[in-house]
Amino acid sequence: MHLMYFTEQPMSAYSEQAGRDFGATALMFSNKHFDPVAGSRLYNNYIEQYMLAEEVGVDGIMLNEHHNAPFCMQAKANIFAAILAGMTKKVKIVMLGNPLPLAENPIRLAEELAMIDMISKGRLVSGFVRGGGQEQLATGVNPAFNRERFEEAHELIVQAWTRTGPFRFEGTHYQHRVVNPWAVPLQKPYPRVWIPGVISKETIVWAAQQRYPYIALNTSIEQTKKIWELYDQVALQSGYVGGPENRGYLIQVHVSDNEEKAIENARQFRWMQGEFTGLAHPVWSTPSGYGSPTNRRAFVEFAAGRAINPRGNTSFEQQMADLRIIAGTPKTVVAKLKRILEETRPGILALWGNDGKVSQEDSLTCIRLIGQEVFPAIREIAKSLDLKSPFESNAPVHLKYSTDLKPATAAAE
Amino acid sequence: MAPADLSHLVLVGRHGHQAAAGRHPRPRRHRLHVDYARAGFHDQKAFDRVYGAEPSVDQLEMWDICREMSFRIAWKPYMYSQTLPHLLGAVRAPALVVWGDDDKVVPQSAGKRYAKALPNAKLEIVKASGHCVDMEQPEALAKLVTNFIGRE
Repeated sequence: MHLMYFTEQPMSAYSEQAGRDFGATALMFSNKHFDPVAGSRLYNNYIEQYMLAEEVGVDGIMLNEHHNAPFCMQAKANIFAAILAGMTKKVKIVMLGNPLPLAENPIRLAEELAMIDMISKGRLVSGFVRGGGQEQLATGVNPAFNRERFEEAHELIVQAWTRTGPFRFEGTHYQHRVVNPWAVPLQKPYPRVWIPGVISKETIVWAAQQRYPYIALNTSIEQTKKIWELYDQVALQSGYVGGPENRGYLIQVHVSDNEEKAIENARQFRWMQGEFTGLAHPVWSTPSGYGSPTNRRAFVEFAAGRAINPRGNTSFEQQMADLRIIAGTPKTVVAKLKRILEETRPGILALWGNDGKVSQEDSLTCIRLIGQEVFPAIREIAKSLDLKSPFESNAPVHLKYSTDLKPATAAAE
Repeated sequence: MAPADLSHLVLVGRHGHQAAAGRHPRPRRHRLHVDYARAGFHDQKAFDRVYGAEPSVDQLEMWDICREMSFRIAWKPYMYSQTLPHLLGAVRAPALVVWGDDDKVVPQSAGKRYAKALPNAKLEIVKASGHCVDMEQPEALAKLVTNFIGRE
């Protein structure tokens, strides 16, 4: 199993009341509330957290990217990936992920990621995402072409990494007369690509068609099982059998040396007014054309206030009961994670350890306990459940590099 | 453009020109569908007559589809063309430019720009009308258009 540490890198130093008064904490909440002095302190805190995470033996550090987002200070995931490439020695740098549609020039992304892979001596996992709805608006990118841009940018980046240049690329959204980057990845055929997501069916299907691991982001046990059901179905149609090496799971877990403090700190997972990506007006989080056409009707009903949020908005207590948030001492946490592993069987697990206003001291304690007590226990459980990571099972980087493909009916048998 | 193909040109509350400096209406992508639709009317009772006080979910869905299509064809620059001002001078047909006096979607300054750029144009302002002149003041618009076509 591949075990990772994650933080959203929250910009927690702004007036929560100002956010509540405005009614949103994504996209349009004014950056007059962003204090770069606090920003500088927080960025350096997160670097300290990552260095400790490596020291205590986590396998990977998960990074992400959001824009106009008080809940996430990573306005450019490649920046932190580059920092970690230079400062760390062993951990995988797992980007989950670069929002491809936001790139007006995917070749530049391909170059940056190749540099990160080389500088880190081959420790990059280059995940890709579509980016949230508000990300499209924050960066001036057309939300109606989000999925097309995602798939075409992916194709262009993989070609830039694997095809001998110079060559020309004339796509629908990206046109390049010369593709000939003098920065190619160290890992061959190219760095592993993992695809994080929540419930978008199209993304799950696409990931399975590529044979890229899908990383379920904080979904419930039942939702996660449905994701794997769909993934495995598409895997069979594509000629292989899906397994733990194709599955990843991110969960909010705060560990402390006493239960009460753990629970108190875990409440900070809800500091973004209960929303996973900050509170946003529905037309910002799902601009027209961004969502799946099959969800359009449900969305407009919700946006008009005539239906409940299809993503739900459950209380902290309910989320604890549902194991969407886990908090406690290492012993408590391991027992609950064991159930998650038994039910959802991932080969990749990321613990989102700290959020909101959790102090640096408590955050570092959480990381230390994760690395020194929780993860060793989880590794033993994973071994007993035969939950192998893509590295351990030497899974192909992409479907086209598979050596075990069978016709769809044979795979199904 | 094919200047000789048109005998008459009528523009009603038309996008296409960059909004006058200092006056950029809040883009539709930031507004709820029904709020944007309501913003097109001067008198909310007129909106209610056309769409009902609570538009149906079918209507909301249709607005979302329309918004998606406007994104697909007019995302960047948003709802205006940088080449259009240079082409308008070649229009040969007489032009009627109609604007609602309370257009909150496309400011009157855009109407004035059209009227100035088109070689043979007249600007008419319709009272008590928002952006959706055809739906809010249909008789006033019809009279302007028929007079324009008859006169020219």
